[in-house]
Amino acid sequence: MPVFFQISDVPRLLPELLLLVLALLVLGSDMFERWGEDEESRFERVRAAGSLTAIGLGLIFLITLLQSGYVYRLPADAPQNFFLTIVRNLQNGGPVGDPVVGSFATDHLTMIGRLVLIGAAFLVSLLTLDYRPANNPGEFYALILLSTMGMCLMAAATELITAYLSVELTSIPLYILAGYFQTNTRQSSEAGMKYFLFGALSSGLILYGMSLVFGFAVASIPGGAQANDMTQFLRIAQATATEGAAASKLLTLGMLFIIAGVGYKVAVIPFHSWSPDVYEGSLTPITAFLSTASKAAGFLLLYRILVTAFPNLTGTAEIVSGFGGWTSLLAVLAVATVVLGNLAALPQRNLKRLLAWSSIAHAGFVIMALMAWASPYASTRSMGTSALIYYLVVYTVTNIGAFGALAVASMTVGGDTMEHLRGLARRNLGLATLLAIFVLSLAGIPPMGGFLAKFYIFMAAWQSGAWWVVMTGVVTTMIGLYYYLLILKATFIEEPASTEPVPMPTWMNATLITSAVLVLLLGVFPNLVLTTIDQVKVVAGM
Amino acid sequence: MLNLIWLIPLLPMLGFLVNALGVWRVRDDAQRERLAGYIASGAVVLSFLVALVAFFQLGALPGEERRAGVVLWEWMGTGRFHIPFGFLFDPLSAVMVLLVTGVSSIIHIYSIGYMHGDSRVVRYFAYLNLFVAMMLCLVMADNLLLLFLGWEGVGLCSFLLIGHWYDKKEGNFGRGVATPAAAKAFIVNRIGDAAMLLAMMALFFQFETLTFFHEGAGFLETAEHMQVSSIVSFLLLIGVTGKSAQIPLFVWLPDAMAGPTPVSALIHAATMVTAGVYLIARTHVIFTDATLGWVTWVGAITALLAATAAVAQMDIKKVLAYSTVSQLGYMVAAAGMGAYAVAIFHLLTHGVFKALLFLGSGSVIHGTHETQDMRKMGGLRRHMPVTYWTYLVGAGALAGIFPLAGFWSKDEILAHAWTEGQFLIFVILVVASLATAFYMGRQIAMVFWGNQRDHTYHAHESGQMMTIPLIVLAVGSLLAGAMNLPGRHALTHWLEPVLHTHPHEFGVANWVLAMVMTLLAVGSAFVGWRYYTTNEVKIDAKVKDPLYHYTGDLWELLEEAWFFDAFYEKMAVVPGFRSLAAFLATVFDKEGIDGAVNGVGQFFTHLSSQVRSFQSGYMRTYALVFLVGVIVVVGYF
Repeated sequence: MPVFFQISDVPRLLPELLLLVLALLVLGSDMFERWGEDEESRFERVRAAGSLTAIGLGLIFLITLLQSGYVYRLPADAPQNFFLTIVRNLQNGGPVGDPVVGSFATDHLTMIGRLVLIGAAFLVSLLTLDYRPANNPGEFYALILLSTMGMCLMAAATELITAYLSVELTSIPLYILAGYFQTNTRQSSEAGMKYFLFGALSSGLILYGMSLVFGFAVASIPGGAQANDMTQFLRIAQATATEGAAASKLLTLGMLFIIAGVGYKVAVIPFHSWSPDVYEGSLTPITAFLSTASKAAGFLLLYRILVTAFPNLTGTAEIVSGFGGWTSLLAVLAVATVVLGNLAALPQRNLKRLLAWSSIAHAGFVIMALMAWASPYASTRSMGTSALIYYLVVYTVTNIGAFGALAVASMTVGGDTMEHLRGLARRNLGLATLLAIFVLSLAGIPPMGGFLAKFYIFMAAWQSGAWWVVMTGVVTTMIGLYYYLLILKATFIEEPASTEPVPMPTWMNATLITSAVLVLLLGVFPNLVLTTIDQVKVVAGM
Repeated sequence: MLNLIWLIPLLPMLGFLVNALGVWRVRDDAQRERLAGYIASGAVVLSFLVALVAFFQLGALPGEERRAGVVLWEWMGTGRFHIPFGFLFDPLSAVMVLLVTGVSSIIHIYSIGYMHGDSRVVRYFAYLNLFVAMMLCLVMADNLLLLFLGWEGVGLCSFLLIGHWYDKKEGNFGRGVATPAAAKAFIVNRIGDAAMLLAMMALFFQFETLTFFHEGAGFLETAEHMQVSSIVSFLLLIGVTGKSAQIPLFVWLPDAMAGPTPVSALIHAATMVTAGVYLIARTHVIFTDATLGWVTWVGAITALLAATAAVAQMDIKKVLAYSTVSQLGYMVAAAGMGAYAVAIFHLLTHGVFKALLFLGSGSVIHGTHETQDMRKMGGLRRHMPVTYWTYLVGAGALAGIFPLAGFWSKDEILAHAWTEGQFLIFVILVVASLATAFYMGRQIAMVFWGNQRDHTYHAHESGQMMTIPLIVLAVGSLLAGAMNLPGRHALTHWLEPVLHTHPHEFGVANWVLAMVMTLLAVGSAFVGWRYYTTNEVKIDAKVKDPLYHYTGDLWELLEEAWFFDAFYEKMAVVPGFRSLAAFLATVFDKEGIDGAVNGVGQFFTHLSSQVRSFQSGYMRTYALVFLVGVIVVVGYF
């Protein structure tokens, strides 16, 4: 039964459309204005594009928030007037209904994903305001916006082709952005190039996997004629819900290639090797973007694809019996990722590299949330879902803050190695305190959000019987604490190279304070978001 | 007042916020220092008063109803997982809260005098307030996760306060470098914390809740008629060994003495380290007999090893540090034998007299211009009479001499071991208590008797701000035993609704035991005092202790606290680990940075620099890793 795009579907895709419009607006306003060549007008030009992007993203975030109805839902008996009708129409396009054209779900998962991703892009664009990023600011910001749009689509995709296209839409702008570095062109272009080559490799893998899965799904329906909607996740799950399909090597192989390809996006070991170099070489706010929004989108896609397209291949997380299916594969990947990620982070002196490894390790923790599918109980599975999303929210806020603090340091102190941060507390106590909040959250110390997020994930994984994965997680958290302490030691305890105070750029300061407040709020009042996250129910295949 | 109990932890928290956000901006140095001290002390004293009122109101209720709970908000609530952010005030919490706020009030006031002139006094008071708030959160939590929040919070504050004098690179004798000590304390504690986390997960798996009491559905209530796995309580025991400095994780506590002395008194003697004992008492329902056996032995052996190690220390604070470890061992052993009320009794008396001893040693250190080496002291009783007399009371209480506080509580523990038929434990604890009396006699002799051996400083008595707290605590040490006098057992009865322990019958055997123990303690203390006063000429900072002549290598063993530290350091480089690291080594190494870190981290750093060498920067290596990864993943199915 073919489904057509209807005009009433437009408001449901409003955030993505608005992102596209904003991108064109930023690009156009930069292109059609005649800018002077001198330093001052160049600065003005960057400011113009940057603030347009930031304001626009802020507005889109608010519109999405209004649309989702999470903070305010228009009562049914509200009076009819112009503004309220707009709100009503907006909320009618909220988290309800079947996927648009069978390809884009606009459920709670998408809504929360949009909020996280657009919010992250907003914070990142604020970070870049003081940064003077590039010669062509319109292009720079338009790329960020297009990539954000791709990420939102990744969170929404319920079909193979859409998923692939959204991954590409996300990645291609990011390849270019990774190469955008004014002062360190060589390292930055190297980063962009590496990222691109790897992206190409993984794109190939995803496509190959998808074609295998599609072929298998088409072949397994009797008659085989009506294949045109066989790319939808739910249809794949239906077609493969037989005994034989679950045992098929071909379907498993296809799924493995997809996992490997998305695994590259979220940088889990062994598909991680690009990330330290790319993170180190990119502009710091872009690194923040790469390590948070891009990862979060990858996890949302991975989550939806595994849960809706391959519910018949879940397997168990136990080592002894029934090793097989994606939970046991992810268990192994999670263990490898947390162990190697934390170990490799220990000797790093460059903090961007250190945080790169740390964010690899964090990807391992996120994957543990998917262990919940090893349990047959719906309640455990939904615990896994909320743990996953809660972790992504906390991690996004924390990491943007941490990289933001590094961005300030590298701008004002002149670099982002341990040596540069030495004695920062005596040069700018505020910045050092903010950095400490983010680092403690990453290390998982209560009452920061990072602690509850980790605790919740461990809890969900333990419930599903993956206790050995949890043990590894807890032990490596302790190892991880050591390098986080090294950062704190450098900033708070060691002697500074100079006692000159470090200035704090206005917008970066605002961003960091916002993130820090969020980190603490998420730790002390997690229910503010958990009640919303709890509504996420992704339908598994029948 | 019982529905306002949340004020108790909130007040110190507010003190912290005011100091951290407001007071440090005050420009005038003297004014800033005064303001910080008064605000911090005021917050804790107020909190103490609130606790006192709440305590009496609780007492007015009939026995079984003595439990007040306030849930402030639902901390985490999703699906099956519900954790309230709530406080609990029952007889056990109440006595802990009174100890914490009472002792902290005194130590805060003492700190005003002690930290006078310090360059970071606002930060000091802010952290001290934060610590008190976290400790109160720990003892008043109505669920395990909130308890863990306090548990981690006090660890963090301890880390911050040990490192307070981070710029003192070498410092005086015995005051090691503050920073590694702080890091060590934090990391060792985290081993215990990891076990706690796992215990929580296992508990939730079985009970689907982490709340202690909840109208019959809390896990402490359901556990009474349910078999709980020994693994849970064993994991909790590991957590206890970390926080309460028991074997094998006690190594951090002696090093933690690098912090300011009031911090040692508050955190590392009277309150934080007792959290483990509190945890056992609170969750005693889920401890199985098998684990309790372990608990008893861990406690008893710790008591003995630490007491003997204290004999051979030269640093006035290190003696007290090992003594604290040893006394914590007594409490843990008592808890292991099922005498939870007795363990809490000893916890309370110890909190008072050990705070007194630490503050006294702080007064000595202050009066001798930052001297900590006992060999450089001597004859101080003439210069510091108040400190001397109060210290003597504290030492007597610690040694267990009638009628001071420590006598009553320690005797109860020994009596319990005797009546329970745990004779081996009994013997170990008696030997440990002999060692205790001996090292206190030794310390009194070395610090206060004889003649001053080092004349580079002019010893003087400390100011009133410091001596008055000492006198208050000395009076407390004299009288604290009264709360659980044999025959009346007020404390045991008070705790009965929570701990379900009944006082022992008090018979003739106990009288005999008490008398024998007092005589032994007095004798042992006298021997220690006599030996070091008569051999005073042999005490010299350049040579070994006079007793070294007789004991030889054994002395060194004691001095190094049975070589636990050295053992851990050796562990990091044993051949097994080295070969594992070598196995991981490859030809590539991009930016080799080794040896930048110390201790336990060294091994991991070494291992990880090998891991990192895969990260060579070459595209072809990366692609290879990726490809091999895919092949492994595919081949795995």
